[in-house]
Amino acid sequence: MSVFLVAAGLTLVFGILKILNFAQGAFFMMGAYIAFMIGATNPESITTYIFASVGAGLIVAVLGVVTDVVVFRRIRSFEEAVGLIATFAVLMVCNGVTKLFWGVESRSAQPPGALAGALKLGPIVLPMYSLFIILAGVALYVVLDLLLRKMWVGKIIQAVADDPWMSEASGVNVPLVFLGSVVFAFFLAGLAGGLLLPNQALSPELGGAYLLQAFVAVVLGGLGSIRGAFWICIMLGLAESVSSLVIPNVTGVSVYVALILVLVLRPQGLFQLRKA
Amino acid sequence: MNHITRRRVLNQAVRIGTAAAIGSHTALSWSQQRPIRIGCIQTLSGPAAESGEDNLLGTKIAVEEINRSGGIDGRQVELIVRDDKLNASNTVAAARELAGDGVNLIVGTAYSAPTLAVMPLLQETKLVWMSSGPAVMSLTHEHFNRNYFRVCTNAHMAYRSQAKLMAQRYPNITKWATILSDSQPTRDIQRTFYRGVSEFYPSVAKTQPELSEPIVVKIGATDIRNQISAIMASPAEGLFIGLLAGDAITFMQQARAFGMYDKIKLICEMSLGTNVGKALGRNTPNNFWSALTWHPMGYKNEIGQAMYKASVIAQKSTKISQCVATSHSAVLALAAAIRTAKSTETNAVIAALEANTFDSAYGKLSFRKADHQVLINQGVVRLGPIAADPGWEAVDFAVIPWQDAIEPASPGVPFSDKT
Repeated sequence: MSVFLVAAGLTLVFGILKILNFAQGAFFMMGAYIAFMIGATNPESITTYIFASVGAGLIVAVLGVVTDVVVFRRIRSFEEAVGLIATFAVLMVCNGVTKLFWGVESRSAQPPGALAGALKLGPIVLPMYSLFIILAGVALYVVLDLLLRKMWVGKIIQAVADDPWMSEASGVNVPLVFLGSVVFAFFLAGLAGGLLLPNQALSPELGGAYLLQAFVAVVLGGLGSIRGAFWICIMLGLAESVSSLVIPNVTGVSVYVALILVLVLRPQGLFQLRKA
Repeated sequence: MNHITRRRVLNQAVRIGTAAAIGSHTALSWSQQRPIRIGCIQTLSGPAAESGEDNLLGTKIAVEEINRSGGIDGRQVELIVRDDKLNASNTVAAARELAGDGVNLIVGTAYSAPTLAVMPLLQETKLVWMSSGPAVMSLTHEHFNRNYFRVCTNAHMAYRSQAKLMAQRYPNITKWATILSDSQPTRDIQRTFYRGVSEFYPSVAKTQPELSEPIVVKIGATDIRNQISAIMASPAEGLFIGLLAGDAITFMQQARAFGMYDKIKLICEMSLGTNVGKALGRNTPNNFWSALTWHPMGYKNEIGQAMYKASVIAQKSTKISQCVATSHSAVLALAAAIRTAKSTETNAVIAALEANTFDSAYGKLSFRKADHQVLINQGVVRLGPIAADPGWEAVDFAVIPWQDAIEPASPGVPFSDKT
């Protein structure tokens, strides 16, 4: 579910703008660092933790505006490969800025006190923080699914994604929709960074660690499909858990085996994005 | 009308002689004033950047100290830094670039794979390579190279010593598990530690150890909970952590919620040392021992204390990585060799390194001539949490003499830990 928190913004940007945002992981990482700074004021408080995550999301959303103006608008009319290269450059810049401000050493943050314990069900231990992340991922999926499929703003976004020219001809402010989508996707990256801060070590390599997994989830789920990314993240998590029991000495392989199989058998992804 | 007179000839001779003397003196001064260039090839970006930065810091501190005290025989030292990004191809390219630029003295990367990659070209490029971190045995055994000097402990010295110390201090903790990164060096380190436990618990503690199968984690993993569950399901009371840098921190963060620190009474860690304390603060586990060759608790000499003070100022932290101390020692070894040899020429420096004893943060050090392994004590630091800032402290520091830790020299022959 932690991967879904990162993949959601990634698939949203591709679905609307048709840009594979390589820098999504970097903005996720910056969100984590920003949340680390805000949360350090009162690390035990769950309110501070949530506030820090939302604050990180808002700050990264502002960075999203800058990125859209400087990069995305200029590459929107080009093929996807150009977008990959351009966003890779943004990733490098973000990594450099992070190292400049925070250095290369690893840091850590613990979950707030209310999420620090674990539920014990016989021999099974369920950390409260893990349960929280699962619930957060499910909540995010429900919100995004409702937003995109049931609400008027989602209809407009879908229309612009399907046919920007016709949408503009129909009176939709397409540039504003693009900007709004970018801002929201970056907000999700920053929010994910804050929520997942206590999950792992904080270092400039954090973005890369999640980016590959998020890309796999987005590709397998179908580029642009929130529903696909959600279910794939669940399936890959289960596959990884089973493989760690069955073939413990060969770790991390199940994800890539699944990727190869799906690309060979169903290259459009398991949950294809609806086309007009 | 030109008259060639004796006076005129003498005048001209004096002028020419004076000019020649001034010119030769200037040329001599110029070569004496040219800096001694030392290359520093480290990993300064990517997942291993933290250790690379520590290596660079130790190197810089040593160079600054040398230059402040007048340089080496009046010549200042110039450090030329290159980032290999933990990519062996980049390490080789950087080595060739520096060699082509006339730099023959290198303080090299802390990692085994890039170091192995440069070994074949050391003699061809006439480089003297000082390594301040790689632990793999082959560097001073089957891949021995006379241009290569290891200025740190190797895996046998480090992890066998750690196992012996655990047998001495904790004879009742006999059930061990290990979690390690999926890489050859960490697997070798784990095997060395387990072999040490198998040897020393019966001989020192008079108890029989029980060793669980190693649990392997993908490098860069963000979720290690499956592996943590496996450790919790095992009978282990002692745990050896052979995870790389950030993965070790991630593991210790995630393990806390599972109650691991109530079950596991004793933790040995591969190499992070006090970096763990800096990263985890008050969440540093109790009874946490990490291989760390140098700590101010164990070494009070003037050079070591000055190095530590400079490190604290530079890092704004009391944490000290052994990489700082070993790279610092590498530069001091080179400086001493250059002074002895009165030359920076490769063969002269090698001969001086083989023969010298030099002062360092560890006290007096020298290299074993047969395999160029530095004769350095192994250290193990114990960390623990405290209420006051910074939330952690070094509780204990044990030193294992090198005589008890080192393996027999066998240059050119594969190392066997079965003897």
